[in-house]
Amino acid sequence: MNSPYFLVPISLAITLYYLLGSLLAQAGIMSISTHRKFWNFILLFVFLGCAVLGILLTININYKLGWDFVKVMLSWHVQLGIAMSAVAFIHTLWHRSYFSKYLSFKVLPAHRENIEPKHLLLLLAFALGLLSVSLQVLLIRQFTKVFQGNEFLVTWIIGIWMLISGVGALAGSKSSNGINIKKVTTKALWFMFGSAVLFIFISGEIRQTFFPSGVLIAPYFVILMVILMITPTAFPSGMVYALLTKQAKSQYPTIYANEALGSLAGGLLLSLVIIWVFNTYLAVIAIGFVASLVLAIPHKRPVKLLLPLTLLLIGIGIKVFNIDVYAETIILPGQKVLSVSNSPYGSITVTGSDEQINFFGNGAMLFGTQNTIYCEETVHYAMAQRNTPQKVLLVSGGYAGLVDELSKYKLLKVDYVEPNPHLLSESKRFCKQSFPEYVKVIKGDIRNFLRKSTERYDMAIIATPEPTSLEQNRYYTLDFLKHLKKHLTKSAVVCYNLAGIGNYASDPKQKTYSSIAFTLKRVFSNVEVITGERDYLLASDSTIRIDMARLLSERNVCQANLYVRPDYINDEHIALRNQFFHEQIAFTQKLNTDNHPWPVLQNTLGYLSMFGNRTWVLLTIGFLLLLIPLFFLQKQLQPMYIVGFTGSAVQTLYLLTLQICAGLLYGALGAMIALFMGGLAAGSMSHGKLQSLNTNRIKTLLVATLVILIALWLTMAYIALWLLIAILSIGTLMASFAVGYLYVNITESSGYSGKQPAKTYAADLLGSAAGIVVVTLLLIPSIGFIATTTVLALGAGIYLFLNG
Amino acid sequence: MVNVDAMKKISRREFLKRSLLATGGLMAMRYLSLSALALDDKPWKWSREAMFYTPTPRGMRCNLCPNECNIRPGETSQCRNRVNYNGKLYTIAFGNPCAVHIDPIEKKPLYHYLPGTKSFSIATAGCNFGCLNCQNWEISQSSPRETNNAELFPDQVVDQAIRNGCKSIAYTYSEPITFYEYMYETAGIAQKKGIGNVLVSNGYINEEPLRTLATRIDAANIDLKSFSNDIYLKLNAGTLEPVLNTLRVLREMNVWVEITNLVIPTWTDDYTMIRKMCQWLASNGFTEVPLHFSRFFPLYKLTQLPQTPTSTLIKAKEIAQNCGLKYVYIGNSALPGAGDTICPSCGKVVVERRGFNVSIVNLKNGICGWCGASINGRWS
Repeated sequence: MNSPYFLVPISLAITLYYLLGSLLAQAGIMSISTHRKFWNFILLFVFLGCAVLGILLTININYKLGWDFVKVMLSWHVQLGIAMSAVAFIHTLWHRSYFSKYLSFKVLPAHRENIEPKHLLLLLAFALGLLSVSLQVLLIRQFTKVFQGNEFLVTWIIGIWMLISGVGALAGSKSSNGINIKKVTTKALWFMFGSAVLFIFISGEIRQTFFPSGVLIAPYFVILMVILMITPTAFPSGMVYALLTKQAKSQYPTIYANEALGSLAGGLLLSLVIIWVFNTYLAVIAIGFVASLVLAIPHKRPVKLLLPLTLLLIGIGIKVFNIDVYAETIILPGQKVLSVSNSPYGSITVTGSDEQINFFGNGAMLFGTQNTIYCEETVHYAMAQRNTPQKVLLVSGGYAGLVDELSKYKLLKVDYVEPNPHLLSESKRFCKQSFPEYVKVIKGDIRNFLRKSTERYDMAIIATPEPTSLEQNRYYTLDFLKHLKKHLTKSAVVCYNLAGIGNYASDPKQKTYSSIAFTLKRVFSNVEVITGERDYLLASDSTIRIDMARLLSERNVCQANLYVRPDYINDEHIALRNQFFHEQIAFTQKLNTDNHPWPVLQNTLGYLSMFGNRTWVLLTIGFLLLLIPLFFLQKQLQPMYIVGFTGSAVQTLYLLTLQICAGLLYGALGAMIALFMGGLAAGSMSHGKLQSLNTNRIKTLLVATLVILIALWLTMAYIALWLLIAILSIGTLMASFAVGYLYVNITESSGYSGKQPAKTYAADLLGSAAGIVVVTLLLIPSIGFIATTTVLALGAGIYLFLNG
Repeated sequence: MVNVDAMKKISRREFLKRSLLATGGLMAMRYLSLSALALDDKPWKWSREAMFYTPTPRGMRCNLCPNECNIRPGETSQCRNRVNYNGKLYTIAFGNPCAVHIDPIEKKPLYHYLPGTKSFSIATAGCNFGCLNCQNWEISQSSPRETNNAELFPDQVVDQAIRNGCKSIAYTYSEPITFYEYMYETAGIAQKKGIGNVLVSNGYINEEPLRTLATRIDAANIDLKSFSNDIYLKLNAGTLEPVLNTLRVLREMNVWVEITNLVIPTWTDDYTMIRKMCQWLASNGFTEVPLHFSRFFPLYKLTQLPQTPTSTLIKAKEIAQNCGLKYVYIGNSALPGAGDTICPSCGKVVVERRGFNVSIVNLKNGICGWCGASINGRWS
């Protein structure tokens, strides 16, 4: 921990949770007296604790007792003092009327809306949807960066959001009648926004308070901190929905539809516009600006423009005074932050350490310049395998220095493909390298590029990150390699680089590397490894040599190199390490395919093993997430839980399928979200108009989307890309339509009460949370896509139809 | 046909009860599976009674390193290699290395000890530190019970070293202090057969066991991870003073010593601290001891930091040389000449190093061929 006293976390936690409690009291979920009793007890506890410790410290000093535990006492005394100050400030506000009678206040005239309450409710629902989805995405991006999250943690954060929103909706359903819904919900929306802004800006500071600089934090701590920081935003989002549906009474499907439309608008705006222009810090202000315009509609001028203008000025101030860069500097102390930006793949931060430029993606180091050994080894171990390679395919890493190394050869063509366009533009901006004319820089996914290309290469250097996520694993699968091979000459060489099996191969590492090597062997006759700074896997149908020193001498190349030179390389050492590598990977032989991304599970297990061998935790929690709500939810809500589970599982599977086969997830994410939300809205709105429709047909529609996906996976290789995208889009629409329709259907069949829509919504969210976590973390890595989809189709189908 | 109604009859209480029973059963199975490996007179086949411990009312106190763990019956030490079993303290890292390799001696790094030779390198699991950037964390932060091990008792280690033409045996990778008994016995056999013994360690050991060990060790590379107790605590879970004491004792006992300092951005790259470290080394008689500044790469839990800029390493080297240290090297980088040995007297290259390849330019029996100055080291 860096800071001895937790001034910011304690003050912030007390303030935010007090405000949240206050909202609950205003919403009638908790009585004001209970709320105040709670805080009175907190004040008593911290006051007594601080006071007693203070007296003890005084006694120790005055009487020179020399107690050993003085430091601990002092620390607690200060921490409790901070808490006491925060709570005392709140108490002062409670009793402000006592003081205010001595001061004169001008009370502003009460403001009247001039539109119908029903339309205001719809507007609030729209604003809720807009804010919920946008703030969720931005918080996920920020927490992923601050806590250096991987796919495992991102999935958890999404699940936690849904879980807490669901709890908020349940709490909201218990609100008492007679409260001013409009006032409370508007306050709650701005509380959501304010909390999100606060945590986006200070999450780095909080991280640095509790954890040392640059350190990977245990996932359990990350999840705990995320829960604490996300609750002030996620909880009100569910609560507000519940309050609105209660007010709307029988018109709740319209609230649901408008909330979905707001989510659609927010998702599109964020993913298609805002994140391309602003970094996360400015994006959250931009979203607030848009939401303020929406909420300003019912108001008269000039108040109408007050909040939007304020937010606009704040945004300008942040940019002018570089507050966003300052906030980023806290996350990366000791480094000079040069740029903070967003990309569809996440956030990119560029820092400088002397002349070295470092690129961080989502908080993790992607690459840095001046890594001569890595660049020389990656390029020359492969290039030296052939006499005169002419055409090279380079995937990623060009600006790290790989193109510079390639330019030492007389080449006809280098196609450098970079999937992340943002990374490319930042690299161009900071690395300031000029490429030779024969180097063509191509922005886009490599699979899409190869689909359109007729080129055949002598060398393919794949310098993408390790297969730690489903997205990254795409470059290591059998399907990709077969596709790649069609664009290689007979004697071509493919080169990958991995972190290195090192001196000992743990089980996850052994299984990952053996899977990759085994997959390469399925496509190419020869696979070898050369150990250097990393492990360089070379594959070809022609010979591959590992006696690099001799090879480099024979080729008479690499005279200009600093490291990869005959006089540097030790062939004997390479041979020994090569033998060790082959011994380690001999046992486990599992193919890595798009359908079954075996290395991703192993990497997750390897990541978890850094924090103790608790892989059973992963399975147990997933299992519990699935089962516990089923036992604790009301019987009539259980089907909605399953529907929510299935709906989010379908959406996740479809998005991942889109990514794996077309590489379009990030570009098309906004459109896919829009389709899903649009389907939800359409489904809920059409319930009233299509009441004669047999519910079983709607359930069939939902299950059919899974069956379609199975068929798609089995025939993917033969389907044109446009048709694939069309099928995925229609499937998404079908699934979301069914979820929206069933939401209304289940609510009404549960016996309508003011609380029912919120409870059903809560069940939907809880099911969605479970769906995302179980599918992404457990099922896909363990049994693959097709098996996961089959299990879900059978399970959901049986349950939904048997439950009537 | 699934009877859904029957499923619904399980109450919440029943469900929770069954879940807890199942979890307890799973944990019991794991405990029993480990206990099954125990033999009557010792914890398992690859164990030996520990050499340095004291029975106390609170358990067995291990006296090997400053952690001085108090180990109750059935418990394991912090380094995961010692267990309290049947009233004695045992090491469970004896004859069961998980990593066995033949490495160039320069990899340790040892530049002034038998250059150009091979070293038979072994390690068991376990470590008395918990460095956030550990390169070998998969074995250092594990117990020998959790790793896949070979069976190689001390005499077999020495035989293998000789068979493979290795001039030395290196106890390395994880932390050899934690497999002390295994190292000690192997070193004894190796010494008798004319094989050198190399210790690659964090130096976190108590003085008595260190002095005992040093009688069998020929060369050591000690990691001086920083020069701040605070950083030692937060980065490595250790303290500084015992490591400094180790350096003094090893030098006093005529063990050839080389020192490695890993320069980590924002942690150990502070020039004031580096200067303080070099000044301490110079004033404590370490001017002739090679110092290796090593470049950091993001590893294990320290992955939100960039690699060390080469300019930082160059500056660190300058500081060391200005403090009077004669042999300063930069590792893990491609800087030209970073690994060359330069005669401190005439400034000419006497040994050229390119990676692990060594070329003796002009050095004979430790004497500079250019000017006749003595170059400190164990050259043959």
